[in-house]
Amino acid sequence: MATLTKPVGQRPSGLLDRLNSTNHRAALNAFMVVVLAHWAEHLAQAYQIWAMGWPVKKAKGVLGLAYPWLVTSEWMHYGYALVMIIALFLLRRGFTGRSRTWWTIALAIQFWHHIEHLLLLTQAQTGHNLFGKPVPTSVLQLVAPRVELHLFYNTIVFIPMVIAMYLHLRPSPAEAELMTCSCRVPHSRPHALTPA
Amino acid sequence: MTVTETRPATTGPVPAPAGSTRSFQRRMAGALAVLVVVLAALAWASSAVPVRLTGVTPGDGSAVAQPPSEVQLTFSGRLTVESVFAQVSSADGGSVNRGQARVDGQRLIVPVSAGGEGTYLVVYRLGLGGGREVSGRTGFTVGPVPLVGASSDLAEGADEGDAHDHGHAEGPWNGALLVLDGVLVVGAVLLMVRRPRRRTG
Repeated sequence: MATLTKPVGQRPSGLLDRLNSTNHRAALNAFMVVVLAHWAEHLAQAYQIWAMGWPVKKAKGVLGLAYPWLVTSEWMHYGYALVMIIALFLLRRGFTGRSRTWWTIALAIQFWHHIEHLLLLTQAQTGHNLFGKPVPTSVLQLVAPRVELHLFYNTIVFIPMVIAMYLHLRPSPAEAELMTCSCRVPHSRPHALTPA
Repeated sequence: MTVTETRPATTGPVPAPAGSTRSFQRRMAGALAVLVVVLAALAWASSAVPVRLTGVTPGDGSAVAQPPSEVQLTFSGRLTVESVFAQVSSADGGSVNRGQARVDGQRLIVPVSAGGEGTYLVVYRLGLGGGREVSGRTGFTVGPVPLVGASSDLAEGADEGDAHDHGHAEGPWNGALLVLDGVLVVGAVLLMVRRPRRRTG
């Protein structure tokens, strides 16, 4: 009886394959730097208001001091939401097991968050606001103020992201076995399946 | 015939040939360059300076020795004014406007005949194109005592129709969320810094 061996670990070829295999670690690092920089701006604003006693309107974070229009630009907010959803989508395949579940939750929430920003951007660009409101208004702004709502969105996207990162970097043995990306830390040589 | 699957003997990701890696890096660099160009284009497209009050003479909250003959409000951005309302009032509420307010370039000029010492309040509202408006108030004192508490934030009030001010970090919900986010940020940084090391040998 002949036995054929079919290798599972194929060399990645496409962009998506590369991002989720040999470059997953670097891509995740780059993405997290962007996300953390965004949070750093929010925390800098909070520090300016509560620790430095600046008026709320003047507390625009770090970049906002040099470029105040950034803070009020719908394009900037939409652009960040777009970068988030693209990165969450592109890097999802590299996750396995529980970490993929949490990453997918973050992707799903960010998808809706992105839709909300798209609505806001469209209203700002066309000058036609929804729901008869005097300012661009997203759907859930009907039940919650905009700033609180989007801070909440960013938070509930970030929570599953951090959980997914934790589980991805500290996988169970079974999850580690399924990982093929560069985040994988080899503990032992995987077992090659041999014919019984 | 039995077909079995085996993983390669390596324990890490499957290595790619050097040439292939360079090709991938070139493509990534190209994609990054395109992304930068697109973002720069978006930034340029959205960088139209919004209409905001950037300065006022006499200064907001300032004291002047002599009554001014006019109040000048200077705005940033493209000032396409459709309607103008500007009123300068004395402490008793009476208007001290002297003729019509007019827009001259980036300035709104309000002729006044402030009679004597005291505090004066300036209220303005400019109707802009697209249903937007910029409005606010400022104040000054004629005499030795600086005006306190009657002024407004100079940067406030413009382009509210487009504004998404992330500066509103007040309120218990925002505070709680920011504290939680601070913890998460620290956790994420630790995750990145203290991640398990790969063996190179």
